[in-house]
Amino acid sequence: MNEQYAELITTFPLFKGFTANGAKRLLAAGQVKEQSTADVLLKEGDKADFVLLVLTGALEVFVERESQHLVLTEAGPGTILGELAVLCGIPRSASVKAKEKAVVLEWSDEAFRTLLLRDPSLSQRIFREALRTLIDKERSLIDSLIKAEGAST
Amino acid sequence: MSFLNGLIKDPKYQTTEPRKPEQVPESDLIVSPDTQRENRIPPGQSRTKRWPVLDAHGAPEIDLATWKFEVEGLVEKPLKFSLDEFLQLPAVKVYADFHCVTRWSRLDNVWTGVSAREIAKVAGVKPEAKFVLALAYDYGWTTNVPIEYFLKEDSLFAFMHDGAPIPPEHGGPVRLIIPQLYAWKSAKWIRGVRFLEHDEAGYWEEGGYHMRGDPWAAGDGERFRWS
Repeated sequence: MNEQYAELITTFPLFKGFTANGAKRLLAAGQVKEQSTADVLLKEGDKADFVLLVLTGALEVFVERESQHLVLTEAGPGTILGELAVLCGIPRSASVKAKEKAVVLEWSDEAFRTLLLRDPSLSQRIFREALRTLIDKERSLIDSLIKAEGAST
Repeated sequence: MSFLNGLIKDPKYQTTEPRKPEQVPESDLIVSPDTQRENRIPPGQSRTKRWPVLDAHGAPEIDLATWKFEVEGLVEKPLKFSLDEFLQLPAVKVYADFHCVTRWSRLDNVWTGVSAREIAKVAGVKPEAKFVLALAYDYGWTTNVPIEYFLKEDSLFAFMHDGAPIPPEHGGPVRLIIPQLYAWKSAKWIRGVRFLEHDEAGYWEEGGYHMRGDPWAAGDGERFRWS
């Protein structure tokens, strides 16, 4: 099974240049987990002690506010989730559930940190990706503010 | 004062400015051509006066009594040396700079060891060999090098650095030194080399590091295959 996921990982933009052997090391550092539709993988406010890489399927990132279910984004194959809370040492900022059947690779916080510390190329990529996620969030916040401003004038 | 003590205790800390090759008082010194550049720091690098330690798994335990060095693959004569035999081979001295892909450069190093050319000559490398896979003692660690870099005059299997044996954390008893490529190609704890017709990714190269790794390549040097 891991052979097939190793090949898959080499096709993800975040891991460009990885060979199947390189991807096997990423797999060996974590655990492959199969998820059924509606399984909750991360819960807002929980302690952050693992990071996910989506291998197959689709996940939904959401928060619950005033009994409303707000979908923030969807995450497909090749997306890393939960890394910001692990890197910052803060609780989960949102929840994640399986939108459909999905397979994820789960690294414990320790395994994830070890991967980054050992491999400066990988840490550079992960930090870039994490910062891009933050920049995208900031952009969408600005968009919402503009919309709200437009609605109120 | 503890900061100063730390510096004084580190025998590899460089307290002087890097010498020019002609200022090194060694006879028969092979001078790595990059040390003759006006600016010896490649793009995106900074000089360090220390000698930082980086590795994938930490220093492996090596029993010097059973240590061996093997030459295999596309050669007329596969070779195998014990440490004693290896140290009997004709030695050369190389003056070279050392550039780590993590952006530090340690200038002004004198390496003593066996020339890579000498090993290739004794083994009789076949003409179809185009690449070298360096094999290390740390858990099957490898790195791939184009043969033209392996055969540069300044490439060697070093057992001394600045006149002292190479300590384990820096790759002793013997490490490969390829001054004209990023330092991860200079495999620590070398246990042999395999000559190949086709390029084969080594340990870091399997994780997207550059197949050649020329620090002087235009732009930011050949660090990774994704940037």
